[in-house]
Formats: sequence, C-alpha cells, structure tokens
Amino acid sequence: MSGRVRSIVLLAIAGIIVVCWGDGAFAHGVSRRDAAFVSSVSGPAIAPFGYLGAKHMVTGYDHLMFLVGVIFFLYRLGDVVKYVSLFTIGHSLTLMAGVLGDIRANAYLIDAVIGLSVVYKGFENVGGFQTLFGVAPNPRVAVLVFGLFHGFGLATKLQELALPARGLVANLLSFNVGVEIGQGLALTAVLIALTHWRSRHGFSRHAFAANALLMTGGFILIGFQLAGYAVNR
Amino acid sequence: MNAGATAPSRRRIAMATLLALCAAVAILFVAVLPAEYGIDPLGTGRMLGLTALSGTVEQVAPSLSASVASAAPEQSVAMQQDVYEVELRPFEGVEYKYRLELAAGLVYAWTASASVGYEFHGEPDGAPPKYFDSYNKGVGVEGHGTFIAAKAGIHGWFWENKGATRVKVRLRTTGFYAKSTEYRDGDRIERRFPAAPPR
Repeated sequence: MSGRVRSIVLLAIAGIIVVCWGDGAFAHGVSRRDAAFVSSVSGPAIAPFGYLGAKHMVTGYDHLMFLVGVIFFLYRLGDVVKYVSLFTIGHSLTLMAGVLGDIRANAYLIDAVIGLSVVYKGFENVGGFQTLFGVAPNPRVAVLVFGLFHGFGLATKLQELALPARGLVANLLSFNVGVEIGQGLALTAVLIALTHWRSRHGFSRHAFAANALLMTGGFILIGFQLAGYAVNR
Repeated sequence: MNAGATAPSRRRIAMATLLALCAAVAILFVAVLPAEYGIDPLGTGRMLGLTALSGTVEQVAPSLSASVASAAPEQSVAMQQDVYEVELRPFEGVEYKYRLELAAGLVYAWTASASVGYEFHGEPDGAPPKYFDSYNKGVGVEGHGTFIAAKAGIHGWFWENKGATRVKVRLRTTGFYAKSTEYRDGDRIERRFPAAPPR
C-alpha cells in the first residue's frame, strides 16, 4: 500500500513539474527575469537554447510517451542505455540535418508519424506483432528509425523560432544538448516510477492496460495531427 | 520484448488494439477536434463549450448583461485612436492596457512580426491585487475584435516573445478611453489622451 502511495506521489511530482514548466512560462512577470538574463548574454545564446531544448523534451508528451513505451519492458540498465542511445543518435542526426540543411518537413505530418511511433511501441509491448502477425520488426532498428522522425519533429520546432544565421551551429548544439538533458531528466522520473510499479503485484496485468492506453494516446496524436494538416494546408 | 509476462492471447491483443482505436476516435471527435480546430460534427464541442477554445469562434469578452447591452449608454469619454508599437527581446514580455469605463467600447487589431504568446485581460476596479479576468489567450501573430467592458477598470494585452529573435508588436485601437498604461521592465508608463482629439 505504502509503495503504491509512493509511486503515485512520485508520478504526481513529475506531473507537477511538467505542468508548471509548460504553464509557468506564460505566467505574468516570469518573462522579465528571463529577459534580463537573455539580454546579458551576447553572441550565441547557449543557455537559452539549451533551456528551450530541455523544456521541449520534458513538456513534449509525444516524445515522452514513446520513451515510456521503449523502456517499459527493459529491466536491465544496459538495455535502457542501448535503446535510448539509438533514439538519441536517430533524433540528433535529423535535428542537425534538418536545421543545417534547411530541410522543412511538414510539422503536422512529422508529428503524426511520431504518434504512429507511440502506437507501434504500445502494440509491440502487448506482443501484437509476434502474436497476430508472427513476425516482429527489429526493435532496435525501429527505435532508430522513429528516432529519425522525432528529430525532424524537433527540427520543425526550432525552425519556427526563425533562427538567426549567426551562431546557428552553437545554438543548434545547445538545443540538442538541452534535449538530451531534458530526456535524461524525464527518463529518470519514468524509470523511478516504472521500477516502483514493476515491484507491485499484478504489474503484468496493469502493463497490458497501460500499453493499450499508450496505443490510445498514439492514435489520438495521429488523428490530432492529421486533422491539423487537413485544416492548415 | 515482453519478458516476464504471460503472453496475452491473439483475441485479447486484437480487442485491446481495436478498443484503443475506438477510444481514440471517440475522444478525438468528442473533445480534441472541437477544442483544437473547431471541427464539431457531433455537436459535443458546442454542448461542452469546447469550441470556444479553438479560436474559430468570434473572440469576444464575457457577454454583457442584457440590460447594459440594450441600454446603449452614451459615453462620457471622447473617442480616441491609438497606435502602440513595441519591440520585444527574446523572452521579454510587455503589457499595454486602456482605462475603460463600464460599457465603453474598444475596436482593436494587433499584429506581430513573429509568433508571440498573448493574453487579453482586464483588471476591474476594486479587485484584489493580482486579480484579473482573462478574455482570451494563446499563441499567434495577430488578434482583432470588438470589446465592450463589462466592468470598469483597465483592460489590455500581455504579449510575450517566446522565441529567440526580436519580435515587433503593433496594436491599433479606436475606442472610448482617456488613458493607457504600459508595463515594461518593471516600469509603468502612463499616457493621457486629449479630451477632444484633433479633427
């Protein structure tokens, strides 16, 4: 009982961090402190871009849902590192290539693919590919390929900021490093929560439901983004 | 992948996937599409008041009581026109507000050179410190409409540059106000308009 309460408290804290970060940026008065800070920085704005990258990752529920799916059944830390590294390589490649090569992908379509990646991961976690089709895509290749799409998604967000050419590489690298820091923070919270959850009775039953829920979330993302594409084209 | 768990049956997986899809479609049509895009085929968005979030509905302040609207009160303050321009540094925010008496009207249009966070809001007279009514908020490059003050007080905009480059914001208004106030960098700059504007 107390373990369950602890898990809930931990999840609630993680939730509060995400909500406050997402909403607090809009609160009156906060912006002036940020402004004072930014105006004191000259040249490439490393800290602000790093902050933006981390913020995007921690408040980006699409990336987080995918990561939850990826590490859901990874019990060994080595495996977590392996898969997360593949994801990082994938999204860093396309983030860099997208911004430096000025490749402008459609943000809605990219985000729909990110939604698909969430559905894929949930479906794989319930054993859908093996049981229904008899063949499963290689999970490592899949996490790398979907990582590439997540990177394009990050690139579209950064391109919306109308980046100045001066200090572009430094700012881009800062953003990327920020993304990894944010990912690390989010992963830590998710891992703590998952570890608690796994030790609970009936985890496998709940795990099935959780991954079905993950699929639901992914489907919603796909519909949401495709509708956005249809409305704004 | 699914280590440690007893493998669920084909039927169970298929059902769960189908259920996930159905739930997603239901949530999309009931809530997400009406709230985000104003697409409301089932009418649930209107019923739950979600379409108001989509920004496709006319952006108006909370409706006035019928008596105020139908009385069409004369304004004691002269009609004014104003143009306010500001350049925001990255992460900088500014507020620009007008003093409006009860039922005073304001026609406004603002544009920004890049996407900004905004909130059109008002601080009614006699309200506790930090209290404000939010009329509409969001992220965008423009806003325009007609506003009629349901409460006497100061009413106006908060804009915030959330990007990494400078953004210019330009506001044009016509209305019945005698004073505006700008809040920037912790300063408060008041501007008074002449009682009878030059013809």
